[in-house]
Amino acid sequence: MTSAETGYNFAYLDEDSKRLIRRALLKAVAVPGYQVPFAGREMPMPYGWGTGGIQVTAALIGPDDVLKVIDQGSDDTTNAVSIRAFFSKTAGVATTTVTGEASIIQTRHRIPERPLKPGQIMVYQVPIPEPLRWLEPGETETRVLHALGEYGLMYVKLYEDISRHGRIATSYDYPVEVFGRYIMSPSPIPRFDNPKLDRSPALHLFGAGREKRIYAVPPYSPVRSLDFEDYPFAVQRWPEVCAICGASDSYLDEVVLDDGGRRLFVCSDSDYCAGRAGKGSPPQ
Amino acid sequence: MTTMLTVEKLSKIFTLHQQGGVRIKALTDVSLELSAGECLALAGPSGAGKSTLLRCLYGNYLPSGGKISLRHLSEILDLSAASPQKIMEVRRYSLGYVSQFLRVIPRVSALDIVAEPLLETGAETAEARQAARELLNRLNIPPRLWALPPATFSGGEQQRINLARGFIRLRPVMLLDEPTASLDRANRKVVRDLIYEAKESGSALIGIFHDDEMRSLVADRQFQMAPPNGREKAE
Amino acid sequence: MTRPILSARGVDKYYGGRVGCRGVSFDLYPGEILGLVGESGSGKTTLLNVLAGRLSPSGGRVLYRGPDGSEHDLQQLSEAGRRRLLRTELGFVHQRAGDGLRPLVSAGANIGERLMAGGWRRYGRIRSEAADWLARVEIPADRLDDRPADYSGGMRQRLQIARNLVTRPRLVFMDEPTGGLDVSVQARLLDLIRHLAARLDLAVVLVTHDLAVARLLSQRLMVMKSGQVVESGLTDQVLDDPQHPYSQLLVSAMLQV
Repeated sequence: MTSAETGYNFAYLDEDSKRLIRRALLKAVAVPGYQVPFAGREMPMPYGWGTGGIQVTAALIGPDDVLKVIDQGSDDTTNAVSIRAFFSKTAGVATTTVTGEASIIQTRHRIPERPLKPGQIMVYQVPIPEPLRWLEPGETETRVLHALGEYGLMYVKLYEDISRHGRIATSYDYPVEVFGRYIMSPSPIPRFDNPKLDRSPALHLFGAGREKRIYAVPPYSPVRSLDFEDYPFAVQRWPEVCAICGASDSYLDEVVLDDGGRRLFVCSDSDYCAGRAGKGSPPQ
Repeated sequence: MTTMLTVEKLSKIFTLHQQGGVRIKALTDVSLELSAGECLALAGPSGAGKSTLLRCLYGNYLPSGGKISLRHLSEILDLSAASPQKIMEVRRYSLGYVSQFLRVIPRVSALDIVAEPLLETGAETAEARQAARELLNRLNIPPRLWALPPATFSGGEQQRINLARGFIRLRPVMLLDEPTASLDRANRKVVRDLIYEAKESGSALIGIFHDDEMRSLVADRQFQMAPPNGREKAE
Repeated sequence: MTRPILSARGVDKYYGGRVGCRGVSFDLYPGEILGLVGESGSGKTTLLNVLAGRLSPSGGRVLYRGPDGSEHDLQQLSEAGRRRLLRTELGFVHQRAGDGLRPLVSAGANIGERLMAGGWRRYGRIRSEAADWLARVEIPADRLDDRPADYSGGMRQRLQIARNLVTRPRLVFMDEPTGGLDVSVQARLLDLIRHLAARLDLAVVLVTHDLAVARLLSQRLMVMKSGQVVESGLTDQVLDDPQHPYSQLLVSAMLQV
């Protein structure tokens, strides 16, 4: 365990701000999928770099927690490394790259491939929390639409997708209905990960820094991806398998190898891939 | 004979607010009665209020005094006190107005303009159009014009389209406002026959005919009208 | 006689001390088209918005009677109930089509929105219904996936009408639906409204400053001045034998209709 920097409060944020955020988190858990406004603080990084997620993590994290941070599924990208370092320094907590060992996983873009366990908390960095914003610019109006459960507009977006692309082409941030009530943006995770939210034993918390909104999916909540009867929801599939570990059930990233257009596909979840490769399942 | 229409002491004064409130007496104490199957001709010089009377009877002008009683379906209705909804119903079922001026509706074909009164009372489209074709044929409108909106037709053609529209559904009381003005001999004969047929079917008709020959042919009675004593200034 | 679909009783609307409309009472019957005429600022658009539940009146009541005979006071209804009514049994056609359309989605999605809001969840059915309505407002089928911005002004207005009529409303409010369109485009739109209203047995409250439009479309007319109805009656009677000084001024000021 590294020692914390002096001169900062534990986990950077002052205790009053943490309490404020915790209150918003409690309300968010109590009303699954509902966007709770909160007084977001300025963080030592620009909006768009995960200020919402960091505030949620800062409000939650305790000395005994083990933190994992992923960006695009990977533990070793700049953003992931920086945020991990940030909490090592300001809270002195242990960090890990192993999904199974982490108590808090802050993420951008992905849910880990390994099934989450009870007691684990996922923290999402959310750019645009409002799923209806795309079609309805007015905040007053979107709030009324949520309050009344008027979600025809969400289907207008899916309709438009199908008429433009012949299928529902929304591949990230695919809207879901939580507990049969609120429609929620699952932030920019690929729709491949949507089914992992459904009745997940972990707690999922979403923080939007710029928009100052917090929302949550409590453990074991039913989460349904919206669709049409004749265009049912489906996750992405690849004809390829991972070039490193041979996985055929994970979300694959396409890597271009040279100007000749050679490419290969590898797992986006680096921990999952390394675990499988270490266990010795060879590429096919 | 059944009395279809009774007019008692009908008067009409126009107040022209744009001209300092000038009041023009157009009708004073007009009384008449009309029975089923008869045709009454309104006679009198220009300005005697013949057209004004017809328009009052149709609900197009508001009477200033008096009473208009009309047989409508199974009741006797005081038309001067009827609601707009009631007047619309009366016009649909009991009261027709035939004039020479066609109000052109953009984009609607001559055939459909003629067929419309039948459709309004629930006739099938095919049946209404067939009746319209027959009538347009009788009034010598060439078939090549039927599918066109009449906006570009000649004055005489438009007039005959409107006559067809007026006669396609005979109503128990028919008001005729110079139906034969400026028609040629052949078409006047057609209109004469249409009026005969209306009378035979039991309609009561009241009309203005400038053409003496036509009036003597179709009218059973005359009602003489004279100009009321002109203008009076508002106090 | 059938009962009114819409009843206004002593409807007032004040903006602070200024009068929007005052003491308006009338009944509108199913299938009837009522024209509201008057010059700019006479209160006709204010009244229309109050009648449609888009503005709350300062006094008086507006009652809508549903197909089952039940009466709804649009102001007493819950927000959810009011909105449900507004997107099912009622419609509103704005003067500027852009105010009544979603600019970012195709014509099909614009028409289909009310259906999806009403629970339609089969893409194929929504699409074919949208295509059917596109045809009814005389827009070629190959424009179904185009956005409103790619449409001409007249087509946009027809699209707005289709978007409203797709749920078969019984009562539609129209605010100068032909305003700002070329004369030839206007004629086509008027004819379309006339036909659809007759075929669907629509009741319409139509705001227009154009007496020729009122003459062509409406059976009844209310003339408004300074927020009050100064004269009402059968359209042809009001236009051919106007009683009130203001109605006479209005009629004398228009070109021959």
